[in-house]
Amino acid sequence: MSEVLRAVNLRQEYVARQGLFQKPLSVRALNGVSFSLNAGETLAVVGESGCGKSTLARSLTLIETPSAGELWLAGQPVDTAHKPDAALRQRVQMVFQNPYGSLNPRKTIQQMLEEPLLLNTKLSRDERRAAVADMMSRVGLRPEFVERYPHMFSGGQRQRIAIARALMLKPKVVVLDEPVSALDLSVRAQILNLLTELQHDLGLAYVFISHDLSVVQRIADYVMVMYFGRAVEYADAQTIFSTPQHPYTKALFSATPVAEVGEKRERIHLQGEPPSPLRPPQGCPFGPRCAYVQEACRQEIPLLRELNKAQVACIQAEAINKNQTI
Amino acid sequence: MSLLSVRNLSVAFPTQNGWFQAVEGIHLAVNAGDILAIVGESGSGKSVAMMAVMNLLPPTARITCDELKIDGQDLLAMPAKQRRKLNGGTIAMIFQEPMSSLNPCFTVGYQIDEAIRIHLGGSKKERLERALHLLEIVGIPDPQRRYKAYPHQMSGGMSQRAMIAMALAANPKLLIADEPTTALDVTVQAQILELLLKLQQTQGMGLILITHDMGVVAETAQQVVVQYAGQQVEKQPVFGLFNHPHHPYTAALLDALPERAPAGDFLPTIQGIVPGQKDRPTGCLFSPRCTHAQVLCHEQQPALVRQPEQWLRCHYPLNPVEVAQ
Ligand SMILES: Nc1ncnc2c1ncn2[C@@H]1O[C@H](COP(=O)(O)OP(=O)(O)OP(=O)(O)O)[C@@H](O)[C@H]1O
Ligand SMILES: Nc1ncnc2c1ncn2[C@@H]1O[C@H](COP(=O)(O)OP(=O)(O)OP(=O)(O)O)[C@@H](O)[C@H]1O
Ligand code: SF4
Ligand code: SF4
Ligand SMILES: [Mg+2]
Ligand SMILES: [Mg+2]
Repeated sequence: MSEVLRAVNLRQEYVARQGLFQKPLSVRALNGVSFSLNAGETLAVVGESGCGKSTLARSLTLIETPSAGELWLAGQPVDTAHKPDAALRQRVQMVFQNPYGSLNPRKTIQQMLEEPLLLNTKLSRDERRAAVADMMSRVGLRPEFVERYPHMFSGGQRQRIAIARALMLKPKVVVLDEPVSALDLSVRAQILNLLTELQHDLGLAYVFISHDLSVVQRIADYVMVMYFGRAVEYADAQTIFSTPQHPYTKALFSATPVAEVGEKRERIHLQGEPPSPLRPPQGCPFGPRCAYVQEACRQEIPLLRELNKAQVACIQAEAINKNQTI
Repeated sequence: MSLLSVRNLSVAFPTQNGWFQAVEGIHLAVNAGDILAIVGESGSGKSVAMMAVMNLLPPTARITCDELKIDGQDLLAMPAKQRRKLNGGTIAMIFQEPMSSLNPCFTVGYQIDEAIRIHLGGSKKERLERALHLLEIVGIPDPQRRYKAYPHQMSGGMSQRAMIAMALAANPKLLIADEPTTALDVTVQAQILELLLKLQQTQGMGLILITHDMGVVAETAQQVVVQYAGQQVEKQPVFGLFNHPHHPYTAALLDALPERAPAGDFLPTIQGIVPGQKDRPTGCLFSPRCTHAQVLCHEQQPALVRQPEQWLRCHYPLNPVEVAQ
């Protein structure tokens, strides 16, 4: 299979002003993330709120230029220092976590969905209208809604408009940031089916950011677990869900509410809170909250390494796994 | 005494194609300490109904209602200005889209401070302490720093938690939480739900929880209302709803749970699309998509039958035996 997207050591640093007279702070939101994604595959990115998922998404799509790292699209290096050109925009699309903020309040849905076709294709007016109508029905929206403005929609309807817009040009890669969390189960299923269908038909690749592990389990080929701006575990979906190896992955997977009444899953409660970027912990960033932490963990930041078909950034993963299987 | 009592609330919006009926005759009764979940189709009027209760809809909306009482006060007889004072104090709402509900021009701390100042008052120092405490209990790491942050400097989940902190600022008696945990990872989600449950248990806060997350519903709610196309179609205690849904829409919705769905590439969905203004059926609004529909369903709209333990709007309920027992 052919590689469509490769990220090498992507980093992003924000400078946050804290008032007029204080020194600006630098926040390392993304700390060197790498992966490779083939056509027709889905990489799910999961992890705690604030761990850098949306930052990764914005870097991959060059909505923000990353402060360091490389991006390759279909084997070609991408100039990450500049805003993406039209050709790149057409091939890499993004669905934002906050759909309302990304929809122009002064444009009707028709205008919004038609615009990319107008700029990038030679379709006639009627063909464009037909394409918009087709996409509306695919995402489960009433055809007459096209004349409406974004504020006239419910949260889930806006989310679907954002998805429809990203798919209009049949891109190669779509980065979806929490695309289905605002949707009811049946519409969610419809959207997930649509994504799967387009993937089968057109070989689309997805970077799929989600907090919903049951959805991730369903659609992901590969899963990347992020913590504090880094990947701490990376594996194919089957492997990571059957045998999560990093202590953080284990804690994350144990906290999912189960949709059965009276059934509560055993939860590993995470002590404490995510580290502050201003005072990063010594060594393993998960150390301060890790039940298995040892002195050795504080020496340096563990790197990803191969372990049982996965890549894990924990120096004690073997010992921990052994103890848990007994 | 009932904290919130709503009878026969309807909302319509003017559109290019005429009036759009977003909410149609819904009822709500929430007592202190109750947790009521509202689930249902995207676009079924869950948020609009709650915005009507909070008096936050645009003036073009046509709202009708037979009764609207909060904490014994008749809102329909109350001037708008007085009504607005209840918001944030007696009754507070966590909005569905946190990033568009926070004001981008002010720091998060300033916005929480405002909420405390208006409803609780107190000295600057007391207010700062309370604000930091709120940021901490909603699980925002580094509260001191986030207090000074602008909304765009926070991640999706952090702005959501800042919204929650703001809603809790004045110890509301009734909290309407519209998708409060959608942008949150499961560990923080668990923490927020525990916090809300604690407030419900210790302070008798009433909670209306709108969510698409059935796991959250199963773990927290007592009663569940299901909405479809602006109507309430079913209400049951949470156990019954999950195990013996009576309305075909509820059953179809639960079938789409990824963990319940059969393995394979595609998930079960409900065929078709919600009715619009022009093709609104004369019979049951779900009839064009219902796999159980019969002749009567296409001819006559079922009424919402409200019994103490359950409400239902369907001519041919599923799982009827379990009901009787
Ligand atoms: N413009 C900015 N200025 C300063 N800090 C920022 C900015 N944008 C993001 N951050 C910080 O970077 C970190 C990562 O944010 P990001 O939005 O990537 O998180 P996330 O993983 O998407 O979280 P969530 O699940 O809550 O959406 C957070 O600590 C956030 O506060
Ligand atoms: N200003 C408006 N003008 C016209 N229609 C509107 C307006 N605001 C909302 N609507 C419509 O009212 C219906 C109900 O919207 P509401 O936001 O209550 O849905 P919801 O049940 O909260 O859905 P979701 O789960 O997607 O948030 C939707 O079909 C929406 O398109
Ligand atoms: S390296 Fe040490 S602290 Fe980090 S996750 Fe592994 S055991 Fe825990
Ligand atoms: S009334 Fe008929 S069409 Fe409507 S939900 Fe019940 S069985 Fe289905
Ligand atoms: Mg995010
Ligand atoms: Mg809503």
